[in-house]
Amino acid sequence: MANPYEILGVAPSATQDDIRKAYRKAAKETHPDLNPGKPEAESRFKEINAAYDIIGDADKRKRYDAGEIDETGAERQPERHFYREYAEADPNMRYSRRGTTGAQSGGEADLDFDVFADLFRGRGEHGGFRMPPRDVRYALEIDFLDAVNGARKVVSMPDGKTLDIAIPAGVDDGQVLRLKGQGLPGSDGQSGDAYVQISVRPHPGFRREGADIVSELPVSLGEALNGASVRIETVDGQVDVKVPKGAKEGTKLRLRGKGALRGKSGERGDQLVEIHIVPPEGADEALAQFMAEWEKSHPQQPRRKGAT
Amino acid sequence: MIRESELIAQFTVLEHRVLMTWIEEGVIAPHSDAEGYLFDRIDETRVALACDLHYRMGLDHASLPVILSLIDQLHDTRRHLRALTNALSEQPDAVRQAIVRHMSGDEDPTQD
Repeated sequence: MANPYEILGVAPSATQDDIRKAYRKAAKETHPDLNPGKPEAESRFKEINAAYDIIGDADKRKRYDAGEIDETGAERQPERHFYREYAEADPNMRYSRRGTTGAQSGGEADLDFDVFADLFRGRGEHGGFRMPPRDVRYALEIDFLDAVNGARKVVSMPDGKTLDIAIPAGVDDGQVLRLKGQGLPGSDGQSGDAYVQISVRPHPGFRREGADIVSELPVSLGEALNGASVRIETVDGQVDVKVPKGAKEGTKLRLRGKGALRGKSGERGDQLVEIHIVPPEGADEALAQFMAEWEKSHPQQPRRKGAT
Repeated sequence: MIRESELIAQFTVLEHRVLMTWIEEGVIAPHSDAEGYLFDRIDETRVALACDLHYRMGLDHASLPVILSLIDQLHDTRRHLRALTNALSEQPDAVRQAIVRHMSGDEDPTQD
């Protein structure tokens, strides 16, 4: 049905008066009884009346102009969106009945979905879909001390799977651990393996050099000159070490068996403690003068080649 | 995102206390910030659906969570189905045709 304004031949901005005049004129011209020889008059007359029903009445015209009713006077539904447009593709899966952990997959199929599980186990009516067990690869970061001492870890991986990992003592950065049977199941019930590549986080106080662990020990000048007993950290607790009298910058103390496991031999490497001499803090005038005086009788040539 | 007041204004049949009950029951799960609830498109359309079910179709309060839960499970299934079909679309033609044959009832156990 056409636009009522067009049917009556008036502009949308016409006054009610203009519209009434246009209607009366059109009604006279098309009334079937005033035009007995024109068969088309009837449908035209009905059209004009329907149009005037809408825009001839000021209230209805207002509603039509506002889009609330259409040209037949019927209520027009406002633009409406439906839940289904948003539900399936929701990246947050806020209303998913699978719980909140589904969110990370962002709409990807979760292999836990029961129908898929049946698919992989070949329980379909027709002997099913055969799938071999598959291996999976992961990367895992662990702490320095866990790498040296070994640890048992139960970890949730990003794909939702949980791994039970026995981290062997002495594992190296970059080493790949094979976890038998912790991969994906095949339709025969066997599971593949999980391969976990280990990366070891650095430790502020220890450094790994093969099977040895290196640490630094800052000592005062006095401690170095006179020797001292100092408590230090090792990878498995604290020990007291003796700073030898006359220890120099870079002198290494060796603590046997305090390093990391050496391969499969069951033997451990050593911890090497590097002495680092720290001069007194602050400028001490008394010490400076003493040293100047003392150096006169104890000449030192630190920049001579080969000098320590 | 719109606020409670705008939502209530949009849905003239919806009483405020009904909306609060729906939120408490988890029927609608809007975001929150310091000033109150925030409804985004998915929440608005879900409210519209709940209003249609309750006010237009006469579904009682107790049944509303049940029906919505079923609809949500339906969407979960559709999502998985879509993922599966996406995965299938990357398979060679022969595989896809075998699947289509299987699904239209032309099962031939010798074909695999």
